[in-house]
Amino acid sequence: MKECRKIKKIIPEIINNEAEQNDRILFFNHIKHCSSCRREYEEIKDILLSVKSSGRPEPPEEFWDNYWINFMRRLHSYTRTNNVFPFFRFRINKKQIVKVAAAVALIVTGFFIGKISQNRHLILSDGNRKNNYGSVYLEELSDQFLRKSQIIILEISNSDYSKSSPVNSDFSEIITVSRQLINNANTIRENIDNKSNPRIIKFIEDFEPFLLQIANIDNNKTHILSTIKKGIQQNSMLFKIEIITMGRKSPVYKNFPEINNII
Amino acid sequence: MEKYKKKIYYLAYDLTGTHHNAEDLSQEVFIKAFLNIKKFRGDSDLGSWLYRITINTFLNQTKRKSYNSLTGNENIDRINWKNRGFTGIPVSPERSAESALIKENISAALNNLAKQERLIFILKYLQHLSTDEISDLLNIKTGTVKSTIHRALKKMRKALAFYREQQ
Repeated sequence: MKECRKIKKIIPEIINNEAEQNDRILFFNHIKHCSSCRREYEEIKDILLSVKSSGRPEPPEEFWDNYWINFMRRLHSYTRTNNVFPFFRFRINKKQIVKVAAAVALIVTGFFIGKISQNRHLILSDGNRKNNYGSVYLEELSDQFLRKSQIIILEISNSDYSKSSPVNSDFSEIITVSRQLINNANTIRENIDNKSNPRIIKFIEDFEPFLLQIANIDNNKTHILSTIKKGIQQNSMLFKIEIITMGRKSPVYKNFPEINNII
Repeated sequence: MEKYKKKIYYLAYDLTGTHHNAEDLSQEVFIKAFLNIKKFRGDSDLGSWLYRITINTFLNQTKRKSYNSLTGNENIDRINWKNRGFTGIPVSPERSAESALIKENISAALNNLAKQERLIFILKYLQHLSTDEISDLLNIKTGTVKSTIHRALKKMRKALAFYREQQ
């Protein structure tokens, strides 16, 4: 019985001609006296013979002749419907659409945040700097320049230097301040944004010639003061100072930029 | 490719059981081979590669639809080739009827086998591949191939027992 189990197991190998010589001898000796194993062997052989004899129908020559023509036709429709060629190989599914949309939204948001922060930077730097000076420092410097220049111009236009020598201790102080203001004017002009601060530049241009003249006064040239006073009157400097003072007092001034034209 | 067209068609026929399905399957195999020829490494021969594509394509298709091996029940077989045997030589109507009956019984028995058993049976007894070739093709051990064949034959014998009794 144990031998029968082994013999039945090697039946396919015997039929397939794949059994080793020892197994073949053992097998054929066994089936000589074991009818059960012999019957199973014969039956399987019959089945396989039937399978082989059942065969396949041979397609007509016409089928083989047109085989590659049909293939090309199918290939054409297959590539057209499945987009298999490299250029069209990238197919978009829903997940990819969501990913792309998220990426685009992120880029657009980033762009706007960048834009806003850039604008904010521009707002903060309005009034402002080109190089190393802070905008607050430049604003203060401009304010000082205007205030001190006003005082000097008012002082000169309201004083009568024909009676006494102008070159006294008070006036030498005016000269020193004028020199400082000229230096400040240069600093402001070099560092401030001309386009966004036309008013300050205009004031500097107006005051600077007078400050230069005052800064260069010496003991023997007191007659020059009358020339400066004449210039102050001709250029309506007192009126301009009036406007600046009004502007400082009223914040509404900022809302009327046309006042720059008057100045 | 030309020299493989018949081999692949017949393998497809053995697997699917009808001319129509065999034509579909074999042409799909060549389309896949054509589109993926760059992936063919050349470390096996082209025939084995095409066989592998055929089997994989067939297995994928069987997930979607079922085939009946060796049924030959489609009209085109009956109309055009009903009087032709494997070699295309005309045979007598009696012989043809007997052959059709045998074919039908074997087909029924084959369809009762498990997928793997049926596939290995076809490769072994219809495609005449050796155990080693089947082992390489399906990437399984030779012992597994042998035991599967043994199991498949046992089932076939049982399924065709009634046919022997009739004889």
